[in-house]
Order: sequence, then C-alpha cells, then structure tokens
Amino acid sequence: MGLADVVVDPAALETVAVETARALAEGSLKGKRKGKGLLQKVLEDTSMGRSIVYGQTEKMVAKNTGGHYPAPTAILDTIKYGFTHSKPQALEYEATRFAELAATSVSAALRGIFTGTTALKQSKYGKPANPVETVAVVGAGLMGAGIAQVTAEKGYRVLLKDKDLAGVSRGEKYISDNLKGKMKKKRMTKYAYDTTTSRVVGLTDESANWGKQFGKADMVIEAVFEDLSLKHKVIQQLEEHLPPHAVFASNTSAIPIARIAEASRRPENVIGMHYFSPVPQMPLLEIIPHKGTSNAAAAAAFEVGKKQGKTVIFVKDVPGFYVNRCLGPYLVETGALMEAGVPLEQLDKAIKAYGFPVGPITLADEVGVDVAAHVQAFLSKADLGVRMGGSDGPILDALLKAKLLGRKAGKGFYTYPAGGKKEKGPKTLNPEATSLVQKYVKGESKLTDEEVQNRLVSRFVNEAVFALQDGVIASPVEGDIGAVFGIGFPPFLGGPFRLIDAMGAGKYCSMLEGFAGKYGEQFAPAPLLVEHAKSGKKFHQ
Amino acid sequence: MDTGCTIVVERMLRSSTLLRGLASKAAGAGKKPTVVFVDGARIPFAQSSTVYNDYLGVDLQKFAYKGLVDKTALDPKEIDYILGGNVIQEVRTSNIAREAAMAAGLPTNIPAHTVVLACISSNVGICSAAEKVLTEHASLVLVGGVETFSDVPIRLTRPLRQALITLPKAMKKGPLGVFKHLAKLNFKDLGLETPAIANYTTGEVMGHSSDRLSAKLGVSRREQDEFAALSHQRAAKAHKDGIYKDPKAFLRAWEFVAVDPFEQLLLGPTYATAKVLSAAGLTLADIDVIEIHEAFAGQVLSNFRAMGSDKFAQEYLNRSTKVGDIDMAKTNLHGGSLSLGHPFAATGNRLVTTAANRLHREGGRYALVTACADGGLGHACIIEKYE
Repeated sequence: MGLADVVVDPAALETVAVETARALAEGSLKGKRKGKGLLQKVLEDTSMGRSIVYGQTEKMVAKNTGGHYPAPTAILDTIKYGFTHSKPQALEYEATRFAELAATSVSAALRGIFTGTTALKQSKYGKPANPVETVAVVGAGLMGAGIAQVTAEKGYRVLLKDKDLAGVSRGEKYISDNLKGKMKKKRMTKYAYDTTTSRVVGLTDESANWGKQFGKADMVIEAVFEDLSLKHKVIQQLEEHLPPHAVFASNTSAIPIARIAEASRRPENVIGMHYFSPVPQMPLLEIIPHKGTSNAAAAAAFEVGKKQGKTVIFVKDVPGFYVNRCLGPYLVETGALMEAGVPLEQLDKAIKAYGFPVGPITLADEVGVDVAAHVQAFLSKADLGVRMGGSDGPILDALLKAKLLGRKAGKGFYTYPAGGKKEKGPKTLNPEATSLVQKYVKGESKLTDEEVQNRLVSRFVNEAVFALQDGVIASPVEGDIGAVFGIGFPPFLGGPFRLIDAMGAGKYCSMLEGFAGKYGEQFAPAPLLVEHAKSGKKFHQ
Repeated sequence: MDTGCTIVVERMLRSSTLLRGLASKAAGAGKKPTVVFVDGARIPFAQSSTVYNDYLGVDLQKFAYKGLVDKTALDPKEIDYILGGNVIQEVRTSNIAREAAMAAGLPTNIPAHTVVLACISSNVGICSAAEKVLTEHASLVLVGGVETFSDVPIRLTRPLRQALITLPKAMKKGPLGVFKHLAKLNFKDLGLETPAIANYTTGEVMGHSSDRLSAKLGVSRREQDEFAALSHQRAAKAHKDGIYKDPKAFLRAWEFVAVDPFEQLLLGPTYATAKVLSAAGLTLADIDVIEIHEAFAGQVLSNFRAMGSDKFAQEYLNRSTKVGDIDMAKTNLHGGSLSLGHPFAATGNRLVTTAANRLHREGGRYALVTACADGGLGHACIIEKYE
C-alpha cells in the first residue's frame, strides 16, 4: 500500500526517525511515493470508480451497523465532500459533522461504555494480600477449559484438574486447538503457544503429587457440574492441600455462593467468579462475594479477573446474580409472546433489528434449550415473585422433553445441518418445534415489531432497575456495562440505564404501566424507576 | 529400520545435599558430593509417521521435560543445568535441549546444551550431569533424550549443494555465468540424499555387523528369534500389569569404551561391563537387575556369549576369567528396545529409569545398565537402590 517507507527494530526507531527527518530536511533524502496501479487509479481517480467504492462501502456499513450507528455514514459523506471541495471547505464540513455526531445519544452511549469500562478497572478492594501466581481450575469442561485458557494466556501457571485423564485431555485439546487457530492467523507465535500450553498442568486424583501441586495454588476456580454436594466434596478434598490464603472461587450460575461456602473451613476465602461462554470471547465477569467473603479474597478475585482481560462487575449473592437474573423475565416474556401467537421469526427479527446480536429464539438455541429452561425454572422458584409471571414456560419444557436442545443437538427451534460451516442465508425453523409451539398458542397476534421489542426489552430493563434498587449491583455503570458485555444489550443504546435516561424515566414508566394494565403485574415498574419518573433525576449524571 | 520414532525421556540427577552436609562436617574439605537419580518420565514411544507425525523432535522433548517437572512437582527454578541428547538432528534446532527447555516454559536463565553419542547419547547426558554434580558445577540437572523419524533431513546431492552455495558468485557474471555454472552439473547430481544407515567409517550397515558378529560367536537364527519373541512377550505383560513414583538410585560407577568398529562393532557392552564391574569392585553375581539395550537380538546374544567366555576374557578383556553368565530372569524383565522401540537418544534414559524402578519393585541392591552405539562405542553404569 506504500504507507510505510522503512521498517526498523523498535530499539532503533527513535534514532532512525531522527536521522531520516534530518536527511529529509537537508534534502539528501527524498521521499518516494509508490506509484498507483491501474486498478487503484481507476477506483480512486475517476468519479465512476469512486461511486463503485462508495456503493460497496455503503452496503457493508448498512449490513454491519443495521442503521444504528451514524458515524460510518458521516465519515463516508465527509470523504465524498473532500474529493469535490477545497481543503478548508472539507475541514469545515468535517468539523461540523463531527460536532453533530458528538451530540448524538449514540455518542453518549458509546462514551459511556468507554468511561464505564475504564472506571471498572479499579476496585474498592485494593491490592490483594498475597500475589496470585498459580491458579487451579477444577473441571475441564467447556467453561473450565476456557477459563484455564485465558488464565494461562496471561502468564499464570494453571493446574487443570478433572475426574479422569480423558476429561483433562479434552480440556487441554480445547485450549491447544484455540491457540493453534491463533497461530494460524499469526496472532500468536509458536514460542508463545509453546510456553502458554506448557503453563497448563493437567491433573487427576491419580496424578503423582497432585496434592503437592495444589499446595502451591493461590486460587481455585471451580467449574464442575452444577451440584451442591459435588461442589462441597471438591472444596473439602482440595482444602486438605491448599495453602491457607488460597481463594476458592466458584463459576456456579445457579447456586448461592453462601451455600457453597458452608462446606469450607475458611468461608471468608470463598467467592463467586461467574464467567460467560465461550470464555475466551465473552468479556464480562461477575464477581459475587457472599456476606462472609473477606476483602482480601475479593481483591484477589478482581486482580485475576482483570489480568485475564475481563471487565468485572461486583454483584450481590442473589439468584441469577445480575445478567441471568435480568434475563429471567425476558425469557418468560418470550414464552408469553409465543403463546400470544407471535411468529418465531418475528421475535428473532424484531430483537435483532432492535440491536441485539441475536433474537430470543436463536439465543435459546445457542445457549441450549435445557439451559434456558433451567434458568427460567430456578428463577421462578427464587425471589423475583410476580416479576417471573406471564407464562409458565410450557414451550421450553416441551422442546426439552422432545430433546430439541438447540445447536448442540443439531436441532432446537431451528435446525442445524451437520458439517457445521456458517450457514449462508436465514436459518430454517424446525417443523417439529413449530408444531410443538402451536399446541400452546392461544390466539393470533397482531403485534407490531415495535411492541414486541418494547415488551421484551422492558422486562429486562425493569429487572435491571430492581437490581440497582435492591443493591444487587452498586451503580448504573455496572448495570449498563453488565448488560452490554454480558448479553449484548445494544451498545449504541449504552445499556438499560442510559436507555431510560435517553427516553426519560417518566415516559418509560408510563409505558410499563400501560403494559401492566393490559398484560399483568409482571410489568409493574420498579419503585426506584417511579421515583426517578417523579423527580426527573437521571440515572447517569 | 523398523524402530519407531518418538522420543522423549528424561531424568534428573541431584547431589544429595544432606549427605554432603554431614560429610563435610565429619571429614572436612575434599569429600565429594553423592550423585542420585531422582526420577524419570517419558512420553509413549510410537511408530514413525503415526501419532507424532506433526511434531518435530523439539516438540516431543518439550513434552517430556514438562511431563517430568509436572510429575515431580519440582520448582523449575531449582534446576541448574539442562542436557539433552539427539542423534538425527533437525538443522534448525542443533541445540535441541535449549529450544525444548524454553518451549517447556523452563526459566530461560538455565543453560542447556545437547550431546550426541549415537544410541548412548542420553547415557552421556546422565554421566555428564553426574560429572557436573561431582565437580560442584550443579546441584540439580535435567537430562533429556529425543529422536524422531517422522521428519528426517533429506538433502540435495553434494554437487548440487555446492553449486547452489557458490551460485551468488556466478550470478555476478550475469545469465551466461549462471548457465555455465549450473551446466557443470550432470543428471545424476539432480537427486536427493537421504540419511544413510551405514556406518560412516566402515561403510557397513549395522544389521550386517550384527549378523557377522552372531556368525562369529555362534549365535543361531533360532536363538535370535526366541530372544526377540521373549522381549515382546515381556513388554506386553509389562503393559498389562501397569508397570510403566525421594530419589530412586545412586549413580555409583560409569564407563565409556570404544572398540574396533570393523570387527567388533557391537561388542561395546562386554568391554564396558567388564570395566565398570572392576571399577565398582563388584562381580556380575552381585548384580540384581540388568537392563541391556537390545540393538539386535543377535548383538545381545553375541555379547552374552563374549561375557560368558573365559577365552574371550583372556584374549580381549585382560582378565583371567569370564565376566560372567547373564541370567535372563534378571535381564530386561519388562521388554527392551526390540519390543518397546529404540528412539536413539531416548533409550539411555529409559534404561536407567527402568533399572531404578525395578530395583525398588524387586527389592534388589545393584543394577547394571549397558548399551552399544554405532561407531564401535559402548557404555555401562552401575546404580544402587536409594533407601
């Protein structure tokens, strides 16, 4: 492309740059511009060529932004303007468009995400008392292996333990396959691959000296099956070998951390570290101290989470923590809308158009219909009361019974043909699933996309407000960042709290009250939201 | 060759610092450290171009270094020196011990070098490590050994190599110069050169040497087949019984010998055994465990003949009586190189680790390890069980 004239070793950069500048100034060195090839000349120097480039770019921008981000279009306009006007005029145009963009709510939302993630890089717990060098991961399944991977990649020594060699090997293979992929894309050197994989020590109960190895572990992250008695067994077995300062973190999503801590000799060291799947890609980490967790343990967990490259929010030890807790009512509403006769494709299309990465039906298939059903079931029995109302979730149960578990089973709401390459074009609905859904449909729906979007999203947003109100999260910053990074809440909206601020708490409240009147108490706005509606105070100052 | 590739084995040696402490208190300066063999580990040996097909030797050695360090829960910072053996070299990794050690995540400030002595390369590694401990240059040494035939150096012929090396000079003379330069090659120069299996000096293929030795010492084909079959049976049983956990042994004595490569190429073990028994003040009867490298059935049996012959001892070993008769009940009890595979530089480590493990399992006191190597070389060492 001709952007760089000379490439030098970083150690020599300054010297060579100074010499080059001096030579250019003296005239002893003349800059050479690479000549344009014919194709480049046609595309850049003729108006017909340029309009081809613009056309392609506009198509790509539309596809990638869904029309939600004004900046790429403004950039394109500015470039177009620059070709047909003088430099001063072009700079003036650019400045005007920039100022307009800066004043948009999208800009505020994106800046909010930046300042939010920056703020979350500090915690109130300070530096951990004991430096963490060795992290043990217990359970080498999908979550455990992913956690082990990001931990090893960032320089920690990792003890990866599972109940048998086959399990450990599967975990090690998951890691090495992912890292080999990075090597292929030249994002990782062979040396980094070798030293990273060498940092992972695979262990089982039969391994020689596994106890001695655990004697050097500063932290354990437990990612075994979601069974309380199993987790208790793990704690008790490991505490025979762990040093007294070792933090025991659980990746549980459905068991209260306080209950897990009951089996520990040192419950002050027990904490929740809830990752999102797939761990190497998903940036959010919920850290959940229980009432008895010490500041030192929280500090250590935060330090490790940060070093793993995650954005951390601290969450109170309540069912569902924060992200899954807000998803509960959203899942229930999905069922309610299906039962009201809203077509499955409309549900997905509407939510995707709203700005989420996937719609609720696809989401269920991706996380697993069994997982979605389990989350809904356990949250319904928890402390959300009427907020889990609106549907008993019979459709998810029916699909579960018929073993239509989603992508992992090859079929769920949609079918997933074997030989997995990314499908081109829309997915096909599974006729087995649609006929099951039909059994529970109570009528024909005439809801617009906008109504579908508002009903679904408002149940999530309302629950987020309850979470702030009840101290599940500490501030709207955690609430917004958690939603955006945890389930892909549209970044251009900034998160549930910025959404309310932009719309106005009063308007949002009225909308919810309207839904409550038509559909039931599950839509009743949170008292904190009513307060903000009355006072006009924003969540973000 | 039907020996498989794959590699890896390692061993560690460490001075017994406790003993050293007591000794210096009691006897003052001049008391030597004691050398102990702590533990060994290897990855499974496999046939070439199968499961390890995509790995270079350096990757396999990395697995073994990491495996042993993990198995013993050793803190790598305690290692003072790293050695490794490798015979068929990948040109890019001529100091394979260093590259593998770094890839295994061992601290980069531990020096490492690579040793070669054909099939007894890792024995050289072990003994060099012992010498470092004895001269107090190191307290803890990690020794590896690796071989793979899944990727071997295949070269252009020598005339073609030379033409390419001197090509830049010819290019200065322009296209005519290049043409004249390359025209010096003839058709048969445009071939490939694969690693030879014949000895460089004698030109003889080792299998032929073994057969000749067997013929001279009266070892029949039937005896060779029975020996090979026994090796396989013992290895199979050992796998079934799950044979393959403080330090395990003291390294008491070791010797390297060289013999006439033309006429006695594979008799090194006999000479070395005689020498090491004498150095240790022991007889063959004092030995409870024997691990001998099975290069060829005929070669092993020929050595047994030589060791069991008074005449051979008088004529060649400067002894009045034979070295001794080998008891097969004590020897290669769980199979040997014939049945387990012989990745050249890894075998020495396997022999010593197996001998040490056998002493503990069987309750013996002394073990003899001996091996021959291409070029008319031999090695023997005596280890004593650590209690």
